[in-house]
Order: sequence, then structure tokens, then C-alpha cells
Amino acid sequence: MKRRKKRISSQDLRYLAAFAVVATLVTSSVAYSILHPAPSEQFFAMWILGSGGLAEHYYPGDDPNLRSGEEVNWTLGLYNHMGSLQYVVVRVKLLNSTIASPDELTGTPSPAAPILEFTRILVDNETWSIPFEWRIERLASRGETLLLTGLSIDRAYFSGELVTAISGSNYRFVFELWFYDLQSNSLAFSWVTGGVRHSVWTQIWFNATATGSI
Amino acid sequence: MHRLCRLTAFALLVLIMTSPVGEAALQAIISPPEDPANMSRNVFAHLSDVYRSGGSTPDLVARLNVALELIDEARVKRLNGEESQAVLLEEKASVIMTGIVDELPAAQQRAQRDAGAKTLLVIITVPVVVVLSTLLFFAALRTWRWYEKTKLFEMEIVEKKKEED
Repeated sequence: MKRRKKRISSQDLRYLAAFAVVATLVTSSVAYSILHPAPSEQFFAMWILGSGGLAEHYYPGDDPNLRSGEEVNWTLGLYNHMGSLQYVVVRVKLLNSTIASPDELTGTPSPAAPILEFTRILVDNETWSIPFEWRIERLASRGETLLLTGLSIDRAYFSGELVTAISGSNYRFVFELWFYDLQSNSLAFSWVTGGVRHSVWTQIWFNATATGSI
Repeated sequence: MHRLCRLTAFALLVLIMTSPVGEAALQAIISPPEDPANMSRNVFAHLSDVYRSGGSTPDLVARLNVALELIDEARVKRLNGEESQAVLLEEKASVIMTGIVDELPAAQQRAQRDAGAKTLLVIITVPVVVVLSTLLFFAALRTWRWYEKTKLFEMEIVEKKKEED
């Protein structure tokens, strides 16, 4: 009786087995990386753009010495790259040069109270643009200092002794980014990633001149 | 008779208050309305759970953002002394957020189901890919062996011819 010829040699069988093992390892690694993606760097980014939507023309006529009634148009931008859904709050604070700025090293916000807040839920990789139209409504002179007593931002009016500056120089808007920390169940200004503390804030300076209609 | 009526009414009141429905109603009367900002954070925490488990609910996020805009607007109105307008806006925001809370369990279930389906699909894909690629490799190997055999056969013919010459 004729012996049936073997369809596959033992050497080829070994090749096939080796290939199958390698294919299993490679495919399993790919599957694992799909199910458990490696965490990327977590960060928020915030920026301010001028009236044309570019990093220029921040003031009417490019003159930072603002008169009351002059309309200023900015766009605040915010980007979430924290790898998760985020509850963010942008706190707008009005400062002069002597009130402390937020401290990035310690993650401490500015001690000034916010005059306005913008709140939103951002999904991962989402960018949020906030139109920020404002103008000085009223100024009051007090000796050498100029007191900002009326301000309108996005149709909202703020009055009272908002902030004072010598000769009306070096007022600034500080925009602080706060987010809702699910672990502490509270709003937080800073977070730690890679053993480093991070916080996000930005500011823009302006002067006020009392030569307009006060 | 009058005393009996009073006792019956008191017994009924106790019965209602001790029942789950009565307890909830009493709680709603006693507890002050939740601060809209706190409520928004609670809703966010639940939505965050949905996203963490691999699901996504863009419509609920969009609705929560509308509620947050109303809350921000209410804060400004309050600062400008328009208390009634502020309360109205906060009530609107609360209604939106209550609607989201009602839809959260379904969204959570959908997210869990989607995540389970995704895991299953990836797990099933592994053996399928391994089997298909091994079959492809086997076919290539067989082709190579056939090519080798044909070459060898050709060489044998050439050598035979040389020997004959």
C-alpha cells in the first residue's frame, strides 16, 4: 500500500507555529493598547486674541490708553487636553500692578475676587472660544490715582470701587482657569501631573485716561 | 366622635410620613432647593462617570452647557440687583438639569453596553487576525515550496540533458 505523502513538513510546521506565536503577541499588544491607551500629557491651554481673532490689535487703534466708552474686543480661548471631560470655570479678575498675581509655583490664585465667571463642560480635545467685549464706563479721580467705578463686559454692568491705579496706569485683567476636581469635590486652580504642579492663567494690561467723558 | 376623627387624621398623617412617598414629599418640603451651581457639579460628576466608562453623551453635555450659561447669566443679573430675573434663570437651569438627571441612568447603561461591545470586539479580533495571518503565511510558504520544487525539477532536467550530451 502506498504511504500517503505528508502535506506539510515538520520544518514548515515549526515555521507556522513560530509565526502564529509572534502574530498572537503582536495582535494582543495592539488590542491591549486600544483598550488601555497610554495616558498622554495632561494640560489646559488658555490664550487671548485681539479684535481680528489674531494675537494683535488688542486695543482700539492699538493704543492701550483707554478712554471711557471705548469698546475693546478680545476672544478668550481655552483648550482641554486633560484626557477626560472637564468642568471649567474662567474667573475674570480686575487687578492693578500691586495686587498679587496668581503664583504658578505654589498653585495659588490671585487674592482678588472675581468680577465675572464663565463656566462650561469641555470634552477631551475641545476648544472653547469666549467673546470678551468690554469697555470702561466710569472713572473717578482721587488725587493721583484713578478709580475705575463702572465697567461693562458682554452686556453686563459692574459698578462700585472696582480697582484703582496711580495715574490710571497698569490696570490688568487676569483670567484664571479653575476646574472641578472630582476627588476633592471642589473647584481647583492647580493640578499635579508628572510630579509637577501646573496652573493656567493669563493677563492683559491696559491704562485708563480720564481725558474722555467721565 | 370628634376625638376619634382627630386620632384617625393623626394616624393617617403618621402613615403617610413614614411611607417612602410621604418621606420624599416631606424631604422636598423641608430641605431647601439645591444651589444650581452645586447641582451642575453633581450632574457633571455623573456625566464624567459615563465618559470614564467609555461612553459619550454629547447631547447631555450640550444641555448642561446651556444650564451653565443660564447660571452664569443669573449671577450677573443678581450682581445688577435683578433678583427676580436671576431666580427665573436659575429655575430654568434647574429644570434642564433635572431633565439630564432623568436621562442619566439610560446613558450610563448605554455607555456600559457600548464599552462591553468594544472590549468584546477587540478580544474577538485577536484570534481572527492571528488565524487569517497564519493562513496567509501558510499559503505564502506553500507557494515558496512549490517554486523551490519547480526550480529543482528544472535543474534536474538541465543536468540530465548535460549528462546525455
